[in-house]
Amino acid sequence: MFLKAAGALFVLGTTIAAGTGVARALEEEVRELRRLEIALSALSSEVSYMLRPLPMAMIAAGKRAGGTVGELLCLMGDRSGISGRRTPEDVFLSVLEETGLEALPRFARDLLGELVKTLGTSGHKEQIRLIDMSIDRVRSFLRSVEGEYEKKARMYRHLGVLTGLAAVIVLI
Amino acid sequence: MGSPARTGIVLAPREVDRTSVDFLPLREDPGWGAFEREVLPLVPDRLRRGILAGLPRGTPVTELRIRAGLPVCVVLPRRDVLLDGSGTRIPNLVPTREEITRTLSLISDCSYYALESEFASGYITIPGGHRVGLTGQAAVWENGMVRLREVSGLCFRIAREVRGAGTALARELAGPDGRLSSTLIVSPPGAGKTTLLRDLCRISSGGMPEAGIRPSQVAIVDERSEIAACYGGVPQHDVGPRADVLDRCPKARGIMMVMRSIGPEVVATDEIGGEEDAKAVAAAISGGAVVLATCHGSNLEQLRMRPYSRWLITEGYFDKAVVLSRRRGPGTVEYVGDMPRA
Repeated sequence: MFLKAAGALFVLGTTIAAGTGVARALEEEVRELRRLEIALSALSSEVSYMLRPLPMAMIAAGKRAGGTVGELLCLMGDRSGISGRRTPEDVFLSVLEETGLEALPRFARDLLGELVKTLGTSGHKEQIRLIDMSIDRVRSFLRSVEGEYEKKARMYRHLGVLTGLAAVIVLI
Repeated sequence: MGSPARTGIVLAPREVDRTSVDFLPLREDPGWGAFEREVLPLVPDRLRRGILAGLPRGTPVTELRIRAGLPVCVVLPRRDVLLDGSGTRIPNLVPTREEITRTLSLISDCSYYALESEFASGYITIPGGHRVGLTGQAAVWENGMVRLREVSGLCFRIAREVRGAGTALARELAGPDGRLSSTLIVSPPGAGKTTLLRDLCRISSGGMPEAGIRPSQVAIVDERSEIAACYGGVPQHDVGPRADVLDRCPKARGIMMVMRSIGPEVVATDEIGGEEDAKAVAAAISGGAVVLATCHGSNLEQLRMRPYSRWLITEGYFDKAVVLSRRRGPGTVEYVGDMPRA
């Protein structure tokens, strides 16, 4: 009897954990996208009002945003420019090659990959316009997926609990 | 130099020159160290390897010229080396447009937007005080602003700071109040006037007791970033411990700004020319500051032909004059002494 109860609890716990894990991953994706939006806004103001050199602007934006996006920006800022002797694109590509950047949502990865190609290569107005366009893209993507991701996260949580309960009933 | 008898201004070089200084110590510093440490790392790997293969270590490099589609050219003090594959050791090194773009991105700290005005002026300063001249296809906007659309040529000019260049002259230029006298340095390009001015700033700022010069608060109005070679607002050359630098500010406005804001004892500026510059210099001297300035020209006679420099000379704003030439190499002192007013 004790073994049955322990087994049931184990199965239930495992499925709940699995459901919660998937749900958290989805929620984390949304959080990373929000961080990306914060980082780009910070980058835009660093570039437009302070005219700060790109490496320093990226570090400041990365610190403001935090998370994986923030870490990546800090890394790009630290290793690029005249002192790092690499361009942000070089650093981005080498980090992508080394780590795959799996912790970043695919959308964020693609957007940053495109953005770093043109960051720092054009005049002030063009640069601001470019970053602002990226912010708009992040915002519209967030709007389209936020509700869907929340629903999916809830669904996975419930699915975990229900699958566990079903398995326990079948096993008992 | 013209005949002294004709103008009364141009003094015969040695007969009436009361100084024992006839040559500034502007020895061509071997530029290899700075070139290898501060310039080569900014050049793409392929070009860097080629340059290192084609040049013996320790070569005194003065310039590196990189042009898209043409062989890399390394300029030495008396000749240049074209890396065009001629000869056994010299590789054929032709940069691509992508390599130029990449180098440009690095030297601008990946921040073109922050250096737009520098790009418009055709050069930027990199750490170490080296200047990179830019050429390519320009676009002129309606408001007169020039913008380089396609940069296809980069000219790295290796900065050489010659400490002590002005030591011997400083004794001649010392004034009665323990500061240098207001001095106009005249020379054609490449004869060492900015190098001398920089060293005089350092001497003024740090003082030189053996010449009777006490330390002074120095303000340097550096419109073209040539005197202090600021990078990120920080001087890359030694201009002394009491020097404030107003970098990339138009001279006339800058002189008035420093006079009002920081009350300098000595104001230094490069290449004065027009009416505004002359009036600002006059205002600074009338305001009690010593002005150290340079001016393009081969001799004092040439200055008299220009209305505003003539006005500065005849009104007696400058106490001393130094004329340099390249007659026996950069830094040849043609004249040092009191500024002749007539």
